[in-house]
Amino acid sequence: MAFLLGVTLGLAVPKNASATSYLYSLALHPSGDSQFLSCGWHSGACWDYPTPVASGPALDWKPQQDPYYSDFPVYFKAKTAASGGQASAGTAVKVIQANTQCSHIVRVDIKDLGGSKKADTRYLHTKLYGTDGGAYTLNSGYFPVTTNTRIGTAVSESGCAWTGYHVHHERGLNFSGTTYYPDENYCNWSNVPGQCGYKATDTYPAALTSWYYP
Amino acid sequence: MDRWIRTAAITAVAALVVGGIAFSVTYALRGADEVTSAQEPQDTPPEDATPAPRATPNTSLPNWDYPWFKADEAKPRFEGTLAGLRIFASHESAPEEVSALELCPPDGFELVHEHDAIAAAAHAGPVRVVASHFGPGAMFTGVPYVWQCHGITFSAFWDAYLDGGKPDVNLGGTWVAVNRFHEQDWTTVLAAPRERLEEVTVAGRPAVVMRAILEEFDAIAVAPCAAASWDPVNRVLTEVVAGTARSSVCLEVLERVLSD
Repeated sequence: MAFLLGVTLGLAVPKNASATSYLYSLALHPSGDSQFLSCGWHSGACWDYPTPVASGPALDWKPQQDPYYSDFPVYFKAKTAASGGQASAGTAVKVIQANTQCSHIVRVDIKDLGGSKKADTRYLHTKLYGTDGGAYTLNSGYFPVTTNTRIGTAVSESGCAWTGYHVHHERGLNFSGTTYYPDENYCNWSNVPGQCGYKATDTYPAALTSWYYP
Repeated sequence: MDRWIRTAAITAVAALVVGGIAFSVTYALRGADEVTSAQEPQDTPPEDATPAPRATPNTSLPNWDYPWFKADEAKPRFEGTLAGLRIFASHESAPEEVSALELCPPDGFELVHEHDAIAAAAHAGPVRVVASHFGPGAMFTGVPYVWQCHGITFSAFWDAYLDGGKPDVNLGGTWVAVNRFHEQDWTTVLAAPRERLEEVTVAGRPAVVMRAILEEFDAIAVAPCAAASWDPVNRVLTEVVAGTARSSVCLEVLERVLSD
């Protein structure tokens, strides 16, 4: 009887509460309408050889092989999984970082459910589409759920050292690049065409990030 | 009688010991109670959820900032002139940009190579941008973009990261960008409802600051902020934008740039 009473009390007496923390995993994909890789991972401009190009955090994309001279939509595309099956992983916010000739840059900040920034990515040669500071739900689930939101339009930057419309998509804070896409040493259209070309951008993400919440 | 009392006492003590051991072991082996508050998985708040004006946000609720974004988005953006700077809400309503080929005939601008960019931005005269403009602790992941026309710098852009944890910066930190450009006397980085815009004086020059959507609460800035100034003498536009920070951050950076 004493034993049973002890066990009962041991189960019933409140114990200090702890929050369950869930893992959110976000895969950043290239903009869906741009499937021709014209420059592999690089930093700054993708200069024509023999001008040296530094390896870095950006990929250049356009809808078709050049010459390509027409504006096209630019999308923020992510596939996000949540270990608790949550329908939302947080918020993505699009912001104009610059909008002057030769410097048209849109940034997307990624926040968790608590409003804390976790990562960001940016799109160069891109004018903002819609409202500056516009926010979108980051969809998620037990299995990756897609968020595909138009955030910009590719712009003509003729006379700005590069030719043709393309989007320079740069992974930002807290993203790690995947190996699905080559370094610029292997793709620098058109003088190093080797691994450039059409890619399965919906299948293969460009970068990955993850965080725990709460 | 004495024997009976002694037996009862021994039995009671034994019961206490057994019960106490059973309680202790059970309590220790049992997991912590789970929180049953809002930190449990929840769906996104309804899109039409509108925060009450100046209502204190419950920052423990998932996606608590989403209604604030949506409420701000629903308000009309200001378009007009403040501090001598023309403000447009989008590139659709803004003037057509003058082509780089027209600004720098016949072939347009040259982009300074990364090897020389930091030095070129530092010697860029009225569009000079240097690391100290971003403040102490700024972290750079790249070099400036510097555009020159026949050797004269026309435009400089650079961005950096600031750590979070300060009252005026989001917990996860913020990027901050400085963009300086000749000849364009209008901007779209100040696209906001009129209530978030303010004419100010920075380093003795007229400027406009755009507050973040929510600035009353520490380290949870609902962003972005921006500040810009048009210099009609040198004909230079200076823009500062921060992704997740209060307007104080944007103003401090603009102050350093314009004071230089």
